[in-house]
Formats: sequence, C-alpha cells, structure tokens
Amino acid sequence: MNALIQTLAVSFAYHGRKVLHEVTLDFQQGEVVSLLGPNGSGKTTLLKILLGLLKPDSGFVHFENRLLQSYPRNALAKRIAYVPQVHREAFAYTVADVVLMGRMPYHGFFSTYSAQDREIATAAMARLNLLDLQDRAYTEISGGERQLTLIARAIAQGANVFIMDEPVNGLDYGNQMRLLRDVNGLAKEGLTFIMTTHFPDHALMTADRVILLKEGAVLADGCPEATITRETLRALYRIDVHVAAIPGYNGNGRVCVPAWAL
Amino acid sequence: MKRIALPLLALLLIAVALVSLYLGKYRVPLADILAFAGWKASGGAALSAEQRSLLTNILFDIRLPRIMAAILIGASLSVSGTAFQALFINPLVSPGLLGVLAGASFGAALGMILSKSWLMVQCSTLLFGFAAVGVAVSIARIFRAHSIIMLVLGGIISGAFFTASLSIVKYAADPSNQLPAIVYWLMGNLSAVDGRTMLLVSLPMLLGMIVLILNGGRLNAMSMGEEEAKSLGINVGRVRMTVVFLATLISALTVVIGGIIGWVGLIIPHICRMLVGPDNRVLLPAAALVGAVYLLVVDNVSRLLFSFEIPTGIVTSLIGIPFFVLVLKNAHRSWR
Repeated sequence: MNALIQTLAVSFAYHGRKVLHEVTLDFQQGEVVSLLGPNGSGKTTLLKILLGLLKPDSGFVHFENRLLQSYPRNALAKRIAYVPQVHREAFAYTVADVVLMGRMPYHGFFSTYSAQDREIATAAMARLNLLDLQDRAYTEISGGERQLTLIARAIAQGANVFIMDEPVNGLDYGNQMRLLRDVNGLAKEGLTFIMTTHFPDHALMTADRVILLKEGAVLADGCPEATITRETLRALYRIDVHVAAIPGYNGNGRVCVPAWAL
Repeated sequence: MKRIALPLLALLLIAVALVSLYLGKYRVPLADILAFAGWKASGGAALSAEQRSLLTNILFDIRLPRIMAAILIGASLSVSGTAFQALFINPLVSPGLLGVLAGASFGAALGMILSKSWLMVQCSTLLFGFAAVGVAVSIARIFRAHSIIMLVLGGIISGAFFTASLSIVKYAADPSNQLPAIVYWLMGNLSAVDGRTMLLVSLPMLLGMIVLILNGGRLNAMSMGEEEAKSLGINVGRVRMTVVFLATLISALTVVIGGIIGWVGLIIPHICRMLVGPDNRVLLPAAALVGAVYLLVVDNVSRLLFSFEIPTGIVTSLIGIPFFVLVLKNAHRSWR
C-alpha cells in the first residue's frame, strides 16, 4: 500500500466508447515506467487520468494514499508535472518564459515571479543545457529543444513525478537518443517517470518497468526483458518482431528487429 | 527595451494627454492654461473670474472628459483584445469575439427607440452586451463542451443574432430622428462624452483592466493549451470565466461611452507584441498604454483635421485596416 500512485479498477469511456477497462496499477517512487501499446489502446487516456485531467468513470486514483481528486490543482502541480507532446504554440514566448511558467503553482493571485523563481528556472535550464537558448523564441527552436524546454519547465515545477506523452514524437533520431539519455540522467536522481512510447526499443533503453496496454486493458506488466518479447509484441502490434540481446551486455543491450527485415 | 518600455509608454501617454488638453477648436493660449493650472494649484490671481469659468468649462467640462474617454476606451479595447487573444490562443481574435459589441450595439439602439433617458440607453447597452456573451457561453454549455471552439461558435451565433436584432430595431426606428441617431452612435464617436458618465464608468473600467493585467501570468499558461494550464496548477474554468466577464464588462462600457470603435482591440495587441514580446505580464499593460495613446491621437485627428468632426470609429477603421495589412507582414513570424 505504499505505492506513489495507484489506480484501482479505473474505467473510462469517451462518448460511450470504452477506452480503459478496470485498469489497476501501482507506480512506485523513482520508477521509470514505459507504457506501450498500439494507437487507441488507452495510453494517453491513462496518462490524463494519472494527471487528474480526466476523471475516471469508475474506479479510483490514489496519490500518496489519498484520492487524486481531493488535491487542489496547484498542490498537485507541485508534485506531478505534465510534459506534453512537442507542440508549437501561437505565441513566441521565450524559452526562459516557458520554463518560468513552471513556477505558476507557487503563486497566489497577486504575486509575481521572484528572484528565487528565476534562479530555479535558470538551474532547470542549466541542467538540460538550454541556457544558450533562454532568450530565443520557443516557436523558433527545434522540436528536440522544445521538448527539453517543456522538461525544464517540469523540473522548475519542482515535481517528482514526470508524466510524458510520447516525448520523442516528431524528433529526429539524434534528438530522440539525446532526449532519452537526458531522461535517463534525471531518472537516476530519484524522479519518477511515466511515459508513453511507440517504440519498444525506447522502453528497453530507458524503463525499469514496462506496461503493455491493449484495448484499454493491461496485457503485461513487469521488467522490460520479461514484458517485451516476440510473443507480447505480436499480441500487441500483430507483427513478428525478434527481440535480440547484444552479446556481452547482460540484460540491457536488447534490440527489436522485425522478422521481415532479417 | 522590454524593461523600460512600460515607464516610457506611461510618460508618452501623459505627454499626449497634456498636448490633447491644449489642442482644440477654441484656441486657449498656453500661458492661460499655465496660469489656470497655477490658480488651481495655489490660488494665484492671474486670471479674471470670467476667464476662470471659461477655462474651467473648456478644459474640465469639455476636453478632460473626452481625453479620459479616449484613454479608457483605447486601453480597455486593447486590454480585452490582448486577453482574448491569449485565452483563445489565436492572435486574430478581437474583443467582439463573444458577441459583446453586437449585443451592446443592439442594446444601445433598443434603448434609443424605447427611452428618452440617456441613462436608460447606457444601462440597456451594458445589459445587452452582457446578455450577448451570456448567450454565447450558454450555447457552449448546452453542448456540455467546455472547449474553446464551442465558445467561439457560441460567440459567432450570438453575434449574428444580435446583429440581426439590431437590424430589426433600425427597421422599426423612426427614420427621421431615431434611425440617424442610432446609425451615428454606432459609428463610434467621443463628441457626446460627459463628465458624469466618465466618473461613473472609469472606476469599473480601471478595476477591470487592472485585474486582467494581474492575470497576465495565468493567461500565458492558458495560451499553452487547456491541459497544460491545468497541469501547471491553474483553475482553468475560473480564470476563463473571470477573463470573459471582465473583458465583457470593459468592452461593453466602451460602447456605453462612445459607440463602436473598431479595430483598436485587434491592431494594438499586434503592435505591442512587436514592441515588448508576447509575455502577457508585460504585454497587457503595454497594450493598455499604447491603446490609450493611439485613441487619443486618433480622436485629436478626428476632431481637428477638418472644420467638422469625423466620428472617431471611422478614423480608427480607416487607419486600422491598412495598418493591419502592414502589421500582418511582420506579425506572422512571431505567432506562427
């Protein structure tokens, strides 16, 4: 009962179409969890329920043994940060301004950002090597840099749970790998990551634990080596994929190669 | 630039306001104004009693209310336009998006044919400004969608309804007196401004603007999208309703004072975004100041350029449209 976040028989439907069926999961402090599943399997919906953005139709979500819904919005924002998919917004805020938005939950109605807030934002940018970009417009930097900006904002938020929706979506290969490396670095500092991905390889690289979702239900849940197998990938994606270990690297060095490519 | 922009703009506004006080069809020598100011301040005896009452009349009863009106209308429209652009995540949005201007126009016209009291006309203007936005919000609520798109569609429907209703009122109006009065009023002009009205409306307008400006940081987050704003700890529903209510209040009050003054709420936010960037904490106060300066200048032009007055609303549109074309050329870079 000491899970950080817990879902109990959570079900959710959009306009009568069931997306999640009685999902029960525990998330522990410091875990890096990858959610894998085909389009429409309910990954993003589950993230939004964990964030409190959607309310389950039935079932409960607990955060630190208290109902998630019982937390006020800004109390939750100090604990759980959302890193959405890379997006381009209408207004050209500077990178520093976007990161400073992470300090929103610490302010009452009339107060403005303090020197301390700016320090925290600067430190967050420094951690992800964004300081050179801080005065650039968020709309004019690359997709990878935008994603790093959103992660820096989540750090500035002071949260210890990062919920990321397909963090590498739309990035080129180099940026994908650099971003995952940065996520791994942050994870080593004890932060909790829950992220969705379309790439089993990325889950193998980053996750301590993988949850496979199919049609709104949990297909498998466990360590990457046990969950990402030829059988589960076939069940998930209806495609034959070999999961091979690179000789000399125990456990970690695993790659997925589709059978047709061999 | 960003740091000193606001004090500079504030100084500019004070300077333009003082010059506007001096400008007018009836030429008052600068020396007389200074002497008058001296008398007001310390009770010197440089002016005769006759001159004093003349200057009091010209400066305090005629010019000052009109200057206040231009400042408050320009600032209010610019602030509500800026706030709406952030709220609706769209830099092409203007204060009339949810139908407030259409509703207020209808309310003014209805008041003019039903009542002889100007106060009633003003109340009706404000009431129907709110009614139109109420209709827009209700339409969005009926479909139980809290999305921005439904609110925009509600605003379009509500605006269209009140525009049609305005046509009915115009059609029903007595064509020899009422109809010209309605048409003239809706052109937007500040010549009918009176001190009493200004005293009445200035407090709610100032307060409305101040609270909107204080919401700048929240509006920044809101313009990143609803879910992100929520995950940043913002009570999205409450902030949205606060902004819509205050923007409606100050926009409807601009119609109460001076009819429909077009384009200010669209072009001023653009200009200011080029000056100080998109951060609403700076952008909103900058828009208030620039909007005030702009309308003051335009109003001076409209009352002084020709021997007769041109309605201010016409001048703002005539300047606004070509200017907007120029602005678009530069602006698309900053918000695409």
